[in-house]
Amino acid sequence: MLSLTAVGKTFPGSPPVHALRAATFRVHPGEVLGIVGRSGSGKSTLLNVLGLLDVHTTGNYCVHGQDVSALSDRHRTALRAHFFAFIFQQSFLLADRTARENVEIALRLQPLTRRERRDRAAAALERVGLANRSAFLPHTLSGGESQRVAIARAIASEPRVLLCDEPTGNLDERTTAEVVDLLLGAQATGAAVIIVTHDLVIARSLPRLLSVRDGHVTEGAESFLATATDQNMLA
Amino acid sequence: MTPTQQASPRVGVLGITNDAAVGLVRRPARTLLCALATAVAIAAFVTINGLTESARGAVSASFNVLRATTVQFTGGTSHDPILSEQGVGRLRRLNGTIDAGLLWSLNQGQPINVARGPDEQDSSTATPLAFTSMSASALTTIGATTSSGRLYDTGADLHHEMVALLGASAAAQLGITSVIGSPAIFVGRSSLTVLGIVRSAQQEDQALLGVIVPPYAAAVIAGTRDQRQVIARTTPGAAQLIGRQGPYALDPYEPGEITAEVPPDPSTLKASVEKSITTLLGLLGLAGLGVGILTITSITMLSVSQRRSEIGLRRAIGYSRREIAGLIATEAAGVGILGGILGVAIGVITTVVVAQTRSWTPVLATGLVAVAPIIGLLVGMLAGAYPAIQATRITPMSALRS
Repeated sequence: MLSLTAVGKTFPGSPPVHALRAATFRVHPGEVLGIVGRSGSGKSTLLNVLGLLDVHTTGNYCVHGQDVSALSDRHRTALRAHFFAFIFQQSFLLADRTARENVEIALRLQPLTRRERRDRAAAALERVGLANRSAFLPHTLSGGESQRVAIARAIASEPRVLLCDEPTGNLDERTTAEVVDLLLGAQATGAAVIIVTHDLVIARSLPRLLSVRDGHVTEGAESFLATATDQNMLA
Repeated sequence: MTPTQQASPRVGVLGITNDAAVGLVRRPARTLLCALATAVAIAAFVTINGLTESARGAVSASFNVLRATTVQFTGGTSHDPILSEQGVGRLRRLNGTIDAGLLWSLNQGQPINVARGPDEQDSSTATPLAFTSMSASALTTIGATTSSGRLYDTGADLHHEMVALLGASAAAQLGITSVIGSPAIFVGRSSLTVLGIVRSAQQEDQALLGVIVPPYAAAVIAGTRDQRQVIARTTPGAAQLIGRQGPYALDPYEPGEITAEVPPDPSTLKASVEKSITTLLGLLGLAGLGVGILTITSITMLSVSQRRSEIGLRRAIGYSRREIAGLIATEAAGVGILGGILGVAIGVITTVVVAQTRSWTPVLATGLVAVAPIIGLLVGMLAGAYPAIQATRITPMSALRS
């Protein structure tokens, strides 16, 4: 479904930064994939390229068989709107909207009636266990609840690929486990779930891992896991 | 199904408007503060306009309609009285003249002794009274009314009748209360029959303090040396015109000898009042709107930079650049409209209050009240344009970096 062939990303400057070098891999529908690496290794760049938030500079990236390098910003935005959904370390909820309205925003770009939108938002909140919080404003929610609203927002639009950038970075262990469960649950709908993390516990629980080091993407994460055994969490 | 082959998902104008409206309503303090800048500008605009209108109304009200339709002509030396009945006849035929008549003060305006009896001329019982000569048409021109008896008509001159009218106060001084029994007064060796007692006149009411006689009787009493005047009543608005044409009608040979005294032109006076205020209005209004635009611009810019993550998130979700710009611009426009409505309300209240303290009748252009929210909308859109463009430059990547 996602196919990368020698994809690279270079940020111009002196000297230019090669954030991503010749990444080649595929992601299949319904697959769960972890991306690990140290800070500054290029994980986020990879995620941005995957999610069409950023444009790669070399190589070929095909989404659903379509080469995206040729797409205009408008088409890339449109493709992103209904192919991808994002979950970030921060929940980025709109402070002046209720939990349900925050979820509805992601559904604005779909041809739904107001009622359908509301029902789907409510259903998504129910899936993340926040049905009773739908009318709450973000500042009344805990960190875990906020992140669950963000997950509801992501899954409500029924994306084909769920891109998660350090989704549990701000959460405690117990909440982390809940959130990861929810993320993996999205797989059940046929979506691919890609999780960028440096949490070893999470990484070990994922069926497939890619590691990123100095912009090089390699399949598997043995070296990364090995070097990190002495410390559970990496900075 | 290839995703891009589908119609691009769009939020749509309605969605954006709704989004913007919710955003404005949920941040009432910021919205109100932002709107207030426009409101003050538009309030100033409306107030100045309203006060101009009200002041103009007050100016026109201070114009006495009667005075504004009266023209007086003076001319000719005492030896060559160029103002004549024939001239007045021509003046009366001018379009715009309602009535006109000859009049002049006798004896250079000095009082003449009047006695009740033929032998009391020089005695201390004689009463000094001012004499005015008026043609019969002058009497109707000034709108004289009698409390007793009647006015004389053109027949009095025609038949060389020695008659007189007494002003109410003159009659009282002479002890005449009624014309029953045809009382007479004596001036020099002439006797005048009192035809009526004049109670009031709309013009030349100083004549009511003394004796009014027809031109023939005036000539008998005081000769023809006094400078004559012609008084004319015009239709409203024709005073200026009659003032210009009158001299030619009164004496086609020497119109330059005749000076016309016309009331100040209400429209020029109003225009001069208006012009100075309009300039002020224009300057203040523009300055105010400029301040409004700058304020909304800066607050919207601030809002855009505070909402970087929101904008980034919306972009990540799939809002296009155009939709982001639309959202920001719509919010600014909404603020502008709100400011316009608030401004009109403040402006109307201020106008009414100020007009009240000046005891003017508040006058407001209804069109302005309707147009103000539109001005607000334009201000908002103008102010929102730059921040909206700024907002489109925000990339999800940079905005959502944790």
